[in-house]
This record gives sequence, C-alpha cells and structure tokens, in this order.
Amino acid sequence: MKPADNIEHIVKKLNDSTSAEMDERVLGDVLQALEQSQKATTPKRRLIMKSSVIKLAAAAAIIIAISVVINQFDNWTTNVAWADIAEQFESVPFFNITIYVGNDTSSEAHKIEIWKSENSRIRAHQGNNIIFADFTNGKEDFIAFDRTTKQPANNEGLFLVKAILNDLCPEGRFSLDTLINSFPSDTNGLTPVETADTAASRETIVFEAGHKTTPEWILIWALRGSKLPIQIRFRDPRSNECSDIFFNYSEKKDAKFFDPNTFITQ
Amino acid sequence: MLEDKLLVIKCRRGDKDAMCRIYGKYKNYLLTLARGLVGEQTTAEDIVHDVFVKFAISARQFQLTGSLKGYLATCACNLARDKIRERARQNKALDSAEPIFPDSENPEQRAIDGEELSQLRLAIRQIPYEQRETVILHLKGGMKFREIAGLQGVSVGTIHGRYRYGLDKLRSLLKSEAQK
Repeated sequence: MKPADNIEHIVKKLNDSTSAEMDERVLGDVLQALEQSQKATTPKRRLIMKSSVIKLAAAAAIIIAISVVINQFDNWTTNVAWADIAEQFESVPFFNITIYVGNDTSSEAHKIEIWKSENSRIRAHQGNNIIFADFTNGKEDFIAFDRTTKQPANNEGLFLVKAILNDLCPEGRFSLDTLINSFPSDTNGLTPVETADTAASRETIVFEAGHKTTPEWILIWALRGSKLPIQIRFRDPRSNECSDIFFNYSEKKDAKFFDPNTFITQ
Repeated sequence: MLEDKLLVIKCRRGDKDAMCRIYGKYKNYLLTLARGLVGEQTTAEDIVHDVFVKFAISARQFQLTGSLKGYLATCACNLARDKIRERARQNKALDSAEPIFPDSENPEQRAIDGEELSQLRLAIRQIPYEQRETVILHLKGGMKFREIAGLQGVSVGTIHGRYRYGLDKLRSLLKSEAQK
C-alpha cells in the first residue's frame, strides 16, 4: 500500500451504496410511518363534523355569516368576491407568471417563469432549464432542455417545474384555488377573503387567508375591474419562507415559442 | 435546495413519491456517513433506516430551516452516537474487551473497496470518536467546521484541532500498516 500522503483524498473516496433489499425494507417502513403520521394528525374539525346535527348547525351558521357579509358588501361600490377572481383567471386564454421562492432575508430567491398559450401549451424557464409542457388532449407531456446546449435535461429543475405545474393545473385545468393551496403545509381548503387594506386603492382589491393551525398566510392582489390576480404572496414566519407570484396578461407569445422543435433548431 | 423545500412541503401532506425521492437522493450519502462513523455495515443500515423513519413520522410538522441534507446528516450523526454509547454500555456491563463494533469486513467487501479503502476503514475505527466524526462529517458529509462545532457543542478552534489530529492519526496508522 502506498504511504498515505493525501489522506483527505482517500477519505473522500469512501462510498457506500444501499442494496435493493435494504431499499425495499427501509422504504416499506418509511412509507408506512408517513401514512400513519398523516392519520394521527387528522384535524379534530373533521372528526367533529362527522355528526350530522353539527353539520346542519355549521351550515346554518355559515349561511347566516354569508348573508351578513353580503349585506356588508352591498354598501360597497363594486363587489368582487374571491370566487369571481378564481373564475376569471380560469377563463384567461394566455398568461405569464413569474414565481420567486426563497427566504426573504437570508438568501437569493429562486426564479421560475411560466408562459401559457391559448391552447394550453406551457413553456417554463428555471435556471438553465427550458421546459415544454403540453396539456392538450387531457394528458400531460413534459420535455426539458438545457438552455445552453439544447440537449435534453432531466434534473432537479424539471422535477420542480413539473410539481408546480401539477399543482397549478391538475389535469390541464388552470386554477387559482389549487395554486394557493399548494404552498402552505395545511391543505384544508384556504378561501381568501377581502381585507380592509383595499381602501388604499380603488383599482386593486386585496384578499387574505390564514391558517388556523399554522402561522402561514397568503395575500392576493387583484384588479377590481378585470377581476384578475396580479400578485400572490405566501409567507411562513416560522422558516422565513416567502414566495411571490406575479401575473402578466399582456405578453402573448406565438405558437413557435411553445414548440420544442423550434427551440432545438433555432 | 429548492427541490428539497418542495419535497418537504409535499411530504408534510403525505406525498409518497416525494418521500421516495428524498430517500433515493440521500440514501447513499447517509449510508456512507453512518458507515464511516460506526464502521459496521449492519449498524449503518439501521441508522439510515431510523433517520428516514423518524423523518417520516415527523413529516407533518417538519419545518426546514436549513438544508435537508444537513438535517439528515445531523440526525444520522446523533443516532450513530447513540449506537456507539449503547454498544459501549453493553460491553462495559459484560466486562468485555471487544471493540465497540467488531470488524465486519468480509472478503467480498474488501474486494469492492480495494486494499487502500479497506485499510482506511480499519484505521478510521481506531481513531477517537470525536476526531472520526469531525473527519467524516467534513470530508464525506460536506459540513463546514462551524456546523460541526455547533453539532458537537464545542468551539470552531476545537474542531480544527480534532480534524488535524484525526488526519494525523489516520496518516500514521496507514503508514504503519504499509510498512508491515
């Protein structure tokens, strides 16, 4: 054996790999533990709501609350509900969104840009990746390229964009509700309500939603006239996580922009 | 880093694909770390198993404040310490002079590793645990001295010293083995 002059170099060569048998054993236990942890933390609200009397009482309370809120809204000049914003967004033929994910103080935010065409084709930019997605015919089809080499890429960026697109447009249907519920850890149906801050501007309307079980919150800015969202901010004070999504409806790209073959040959 | 954040968010909701991806991404990294720390293959596999199971159990409430890789490495390190202590207690109770973890290198493993790495694995087991932990976490875990100092609850200067002494000891053990 040679004298160990460069001991650091030799230590770095140590590499162990798990066997298929170990993977099967560990993953079996891990997935079972994950399933049990989800069951163990089923919200009490769901358990309580199993009673039909309580369900009826809750429904009555909600109806009364909605009536009160509607009466309140009647006093305002233009009433825009969250449902209007969500509905209007789904009818937009094309858009461009820019997502910044990161900690608002310590590190640089990661940026992802997504364009949607009129026929539900998607082009996304993340780092050095360019991802094309096709949601036509009710099925999703992803392909990713390295921006510089134009060679196919299959890496972290592709996974990330796929995950975001799957949250944003399950089954090819773009929805604000799925988008706002994809960020927080608790997915028990966030429904944003208008905030008092709206008075600051007549053109914009601001919705907010916060979780009962966690300190996470979401703010959504929308235009009162067009009923379209222009910004969404998700914030988790526990980890300083802050994500911003900016919407743009003025940049219509032609069909070539969404065509992977055109990208390769350009 | 960004992917890890997303995977953690998905795991919180019980997404099995995300959990499988985290396992696939870090399993070999953790196994190498654990084996470097405890030496024995079976114990190292148990550590990797326990790290992921504990992560899965706490996934619902898990908050990622730093890197997931660093978090998992810290868990593996803590479990390795527990195993070493447990084994040392058992040996003490039995008044045994056996090493903490017996040499489990089999011929097959030696063939995989080659002579140089096999000698290194044996040498690593012979250096004091704090030094071993420092060397492995820094060189294989990719952790900074500052992070290791936080983990061991000592100053960065002490970690520098442990690292240097650990490497010197390894060097001398390997040289003496080569002269045999």
